[in-house]
Amino acid sequence: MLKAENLTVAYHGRPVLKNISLGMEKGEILALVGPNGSGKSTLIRALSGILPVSHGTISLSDRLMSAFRPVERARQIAVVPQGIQMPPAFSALETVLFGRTPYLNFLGQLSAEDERIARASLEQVDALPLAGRLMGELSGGEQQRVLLARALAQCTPILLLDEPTSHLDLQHQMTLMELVYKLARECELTVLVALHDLNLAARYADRIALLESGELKAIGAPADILTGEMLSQVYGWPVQVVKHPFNGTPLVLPG
Amino acid sequence: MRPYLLTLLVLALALLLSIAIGSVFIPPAELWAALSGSGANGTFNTILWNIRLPRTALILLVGAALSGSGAAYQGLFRNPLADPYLIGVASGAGLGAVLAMSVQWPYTLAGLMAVPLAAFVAGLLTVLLVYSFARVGGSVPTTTLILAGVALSSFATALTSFLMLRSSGELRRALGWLLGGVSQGGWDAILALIPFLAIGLPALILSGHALNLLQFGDEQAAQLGLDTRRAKLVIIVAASLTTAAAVAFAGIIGFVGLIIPHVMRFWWGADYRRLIPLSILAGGAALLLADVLARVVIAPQELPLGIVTALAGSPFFLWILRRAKMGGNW
Repeated sequence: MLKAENLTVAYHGRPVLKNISLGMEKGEILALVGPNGSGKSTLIRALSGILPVSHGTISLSDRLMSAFRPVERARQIAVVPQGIQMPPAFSALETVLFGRTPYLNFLGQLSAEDERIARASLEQVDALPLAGRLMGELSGGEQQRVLLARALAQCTPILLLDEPTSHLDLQHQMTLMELVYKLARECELTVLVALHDLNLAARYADRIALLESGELKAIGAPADILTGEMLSQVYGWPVQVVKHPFNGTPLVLPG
Repeated sequence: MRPYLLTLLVLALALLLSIAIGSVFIPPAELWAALSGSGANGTFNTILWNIRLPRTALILLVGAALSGSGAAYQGLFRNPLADPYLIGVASGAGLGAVLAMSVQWPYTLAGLMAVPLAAFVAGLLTVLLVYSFARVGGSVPTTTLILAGVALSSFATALTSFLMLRSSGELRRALGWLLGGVSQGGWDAILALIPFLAIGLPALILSGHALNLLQFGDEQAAQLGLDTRRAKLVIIVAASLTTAAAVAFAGIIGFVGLIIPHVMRFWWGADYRRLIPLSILAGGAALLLADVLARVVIAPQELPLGIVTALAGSPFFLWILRRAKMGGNW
């Protein structure tokens, strides 16, 4: 589906991503982990096709990303960005409706079908009661769920999520990840999700990509990547990994 | 539909006042007679058709242009204080217009078009300069926007004053014009104005959805499928086109493009698909009312229109600044 080959991205001449090659299979959840500043957000933004690439290529279904028009791209890839400021004066429903942009005519006219999809997306993230509220009045976690609904309303085969759980409480973290998991399994959505919480990554990801200082340190199954030795080295803090008592996935415990 | 109906109602009232009131008051009955062509009173007929109607039409179009472009600049810069006057586009366009006026164009339609064209080129250059100076990363903060606007505006105004001092005769007339006195171009001015607005205003109205998306920032707008580069170019060119046309025929009238979009946003919400057309209609109405005021305050003399809008607009500007400082929603 989505593939990066020898991808290098630089800001003001300073490389932020160095020589990254990774590909995503249809229907898989790939978690992106790594310390602050390791390039997780930049990689997500680059893969969404909006950053100038210094070196290497990004391709989508074997076609170069740069060959896609923005509207075509937006029918393939939806993004939930991280920690952004939302225009406060749109309602949650209006915000989600912007996800329908790639399907609108040049006047931006919305149909009843668009509205139905937007409401269904809000429902999926448990935010339908917020539909009429202004974004400026919502909490960070509520805004985050509305943003996910907007990405779902885009009806794309690929979803890029940049720390979608950072402002969420425990219950909403788990329901959001369960939803993402279900979408990947049932609807064959391909998901790339940057996560700070290594245990969420361990539990829900099919594969994990570990970034360190803009380089891809390792990629593979959670049990292979999330080892005490690897994490202690990359994060600069002693880490132990044990088996999760309920579901057997790796459980990361900082020492 | 309610916002449109109310705005149109105010606009109709403003049109009526603007036609009836002035140094000579035309009573309603005579007004109707003169409009329908059955007027017995020749004086009223002349005043109406040669003075009041062309002036009313001009003010309506200028107000619509300034307010519509003001709303678009606010959306484009994601800044509530953007206004053709404050960000220096109006002064830049003014300089272009005066430059064109200093050449003796024949008094024909083509001659009349030279002034708005020069104003457009200079206005567009100014907005691009302001944008490149004021930009910090992907956004345009209020402080840098206003400072860059003030600096470029002062520069353009100084050059304009210099041009006017150096020239004798012809450009003296331009002083009254620069203060927002409406030029006495009659129907010709309106004919020259219309092509600019016929391109600019529809382009702005059609950019409503793009402006909405740009409120999320360039990155998200692009991720949602907007060709941001093209959309911004269309908006900048269209807004500068309408601003320049307004400046070329009515001088520098500040604050209309600031106040009206604000009031519309406050009453009817932030959706640019609605905000732009409403600002256009309400801007026309507001400038007509300001012009009526300019005609009656020190009658039989007239105040330059720019003075009226600045006196009303500056306090409003300070009020918004205060609210923005306190982190208020806009």
